Amino acid sequence: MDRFVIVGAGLSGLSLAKFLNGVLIEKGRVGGFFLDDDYPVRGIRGSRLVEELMGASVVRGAAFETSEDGVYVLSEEGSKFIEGFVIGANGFREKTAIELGIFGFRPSGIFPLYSAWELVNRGYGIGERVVIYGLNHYSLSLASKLRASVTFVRGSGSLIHDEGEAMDMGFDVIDAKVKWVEGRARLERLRTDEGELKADALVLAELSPWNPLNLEYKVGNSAMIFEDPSKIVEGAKILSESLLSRGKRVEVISDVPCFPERVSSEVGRVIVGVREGTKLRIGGREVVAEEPYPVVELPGGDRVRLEVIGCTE
Amino acid sequence: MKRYDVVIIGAGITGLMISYKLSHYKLRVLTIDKNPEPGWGVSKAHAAIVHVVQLPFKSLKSKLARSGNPELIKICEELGVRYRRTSTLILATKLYQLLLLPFVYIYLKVNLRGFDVKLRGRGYLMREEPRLSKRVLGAIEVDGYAVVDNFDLLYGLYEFSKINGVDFSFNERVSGIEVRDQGVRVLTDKGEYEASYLINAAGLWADEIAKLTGEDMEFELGKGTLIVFDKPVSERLLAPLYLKPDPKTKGGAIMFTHDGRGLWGPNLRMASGKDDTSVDERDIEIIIEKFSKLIDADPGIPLKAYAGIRPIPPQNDFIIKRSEGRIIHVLGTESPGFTASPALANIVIDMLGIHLEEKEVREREKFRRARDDPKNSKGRVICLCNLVTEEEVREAVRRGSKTLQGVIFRTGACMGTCQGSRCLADVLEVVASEMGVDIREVQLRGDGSWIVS
Repeated sequence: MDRFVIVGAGLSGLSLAKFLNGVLIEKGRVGGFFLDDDYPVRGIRGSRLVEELMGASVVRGAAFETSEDGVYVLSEEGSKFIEGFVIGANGFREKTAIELGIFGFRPSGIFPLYSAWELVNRGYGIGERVVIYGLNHYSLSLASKLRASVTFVRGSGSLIHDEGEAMDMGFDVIDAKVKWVEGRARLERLRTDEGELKADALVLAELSPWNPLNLEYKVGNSAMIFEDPSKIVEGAKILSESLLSRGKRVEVISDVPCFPERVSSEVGRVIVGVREGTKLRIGGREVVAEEPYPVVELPGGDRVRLEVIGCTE
Repeated sequence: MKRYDVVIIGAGITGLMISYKLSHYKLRVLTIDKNPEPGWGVSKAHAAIVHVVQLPFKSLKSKLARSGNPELIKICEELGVRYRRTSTLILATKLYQLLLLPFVYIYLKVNLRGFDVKLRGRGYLMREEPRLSKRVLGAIEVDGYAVVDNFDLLYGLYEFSKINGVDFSFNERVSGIEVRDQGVRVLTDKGEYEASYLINAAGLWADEIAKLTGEDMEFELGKGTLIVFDKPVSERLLAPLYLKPDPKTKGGAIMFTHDGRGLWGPNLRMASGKDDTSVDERDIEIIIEKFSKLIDADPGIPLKAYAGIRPIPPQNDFIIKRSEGRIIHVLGTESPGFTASPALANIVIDMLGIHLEEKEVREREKFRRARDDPKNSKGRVICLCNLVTEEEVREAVRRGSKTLQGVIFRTGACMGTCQGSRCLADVLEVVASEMGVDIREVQLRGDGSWIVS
């Protein structure tokens, strides 16, 4: 097998396709979330990165089944088999209301983040009083485009944006748990453990990696939630080097998200999903994260233990 | 005033099954429902299981479930509705249950003629269902169950009936019923009809329709919650053994859907009203606590939970009764009303006592889905999780769905692991385009449930 097939042509898929000269499979828009993301992270806009990476070979269609040597794709032309080593780049999924402990009724007006993102970018309004459950880069970027009153329920929080940034943009931020949805036809209000919120839209924006084809190799948000688009590109570079390397595989045992979880010893580095200032112990060595999503060098050995031991603040 | 041989109030599974059967004969039939589409009442929110064991065996609902079971499968075949045959393992987890298992086996064997019943030992169970908990000591396996694509069946019955001459009127509420010498006058918020016979199959609202005819009927409102997971944990339905069954409920089970999702529940508690379809934290806790003991496996991602309200009649059994000579009430059609529906319909039609002259019928065109055979399909995929194509969404609208919920029920779009994250915008645009309206006019269920502005 001499080529790589990447399922999903968002920023991570585009990056990996460039580094591996791979083929992309995409059912929707090439560029994914970051195609329309102009909200900068450390001065860099996701949309600019996507623009720079456009031009890869893309097979249009939906990947629906994998085998050891490729993937089946369904499109308007029919079904076909694309041979190659398959890597997942499906991005994130939003945690469901039940996962988040949100109960009550099921009226109109509850949107997973990406659906709200797509609707807003197509020029539609999703509500006048919008509550966003989960403060992170993706939800902040969505909020920046809404012409509505926005309240963030912080959720698990962001590794790169703080509450002050959201408040400076005129949004309310509360630290609470949404418990109950009220409304039969359209969402009317939310009950939280801190009181009631009037709302006609709830955006679910607590994110998890999504790997619908159960692939062993994933990249970008399909493997770990990255809020920084530059780090998505960097992660794809590390994975591509690792896949092309002949070094032995080093397994990283970590109590925090890290990417890749298995990396070539010749590459010897991973990205860790922690905030700036986090103290880490890696195989007995201590390091401090000098930025969010630090790249850390791995010591030798087949298995490396990575753990958080505190923070500098 | 339009005149019909039979007017049916209610387009849930019971009303649709009666419509379907009557559509085979030369009769003028009208089916009225207050909802925008068929099957949006009690029939919308159950597990879609074709049952076998329903206690007590001497009850009407138990007898009709056993006779309805094979006929429902046959109707699924005739309509091209997707279903999957399976069995239920009734599990013993305590030593005293294991000791009593042979007696329960004999009791079921005697009462379930026509269905295979087997005693299963631990070795068999661990081999066949490796995710079962080690606490499980033995089981009785009852064959003859099935999981059905509920909405394909509901819409299938509707479509078949419609193309074979049954008139349907949705968003129409019955406000009065007057019995006359030669028939029944049915008054609604849209007009009035004359019928030779009237059938009250209004499900949760059948008590109120009965009151319009002078019949006094009170239901308890039972609420059952079901949790949908992204994957199943077993090949068979898994139910705990209850030695003292509750007459109001079979007790729930670990189940799965026809398209490979896990389905746990239901519990049973009283609802505060007919529109109380809320799910609370305690519902989820009870279901998880009760059923997670039966397996040693992660149940998967909980995608959603929904609650259905069921009309529980005073004697915990179906009531089929005639009033004023020309009106037949079908009351308290709670579980296993889905399984029993063909048998219920047969009884009701017999009770009409009218001359039935057969006619030639046209077959319903099966709703074709790419996900049933993706390697031999084509189309622009909109919903990645359930492999729903643009053409399927358009076809759902062409077949009569004018709301997002109707399209979702017909196609399965927005019902996968991502819960519409990646497909909602596309689905809405295609629905609007096929309906020839602005996307802002598309509603979730048609009752002010706007989606975008």
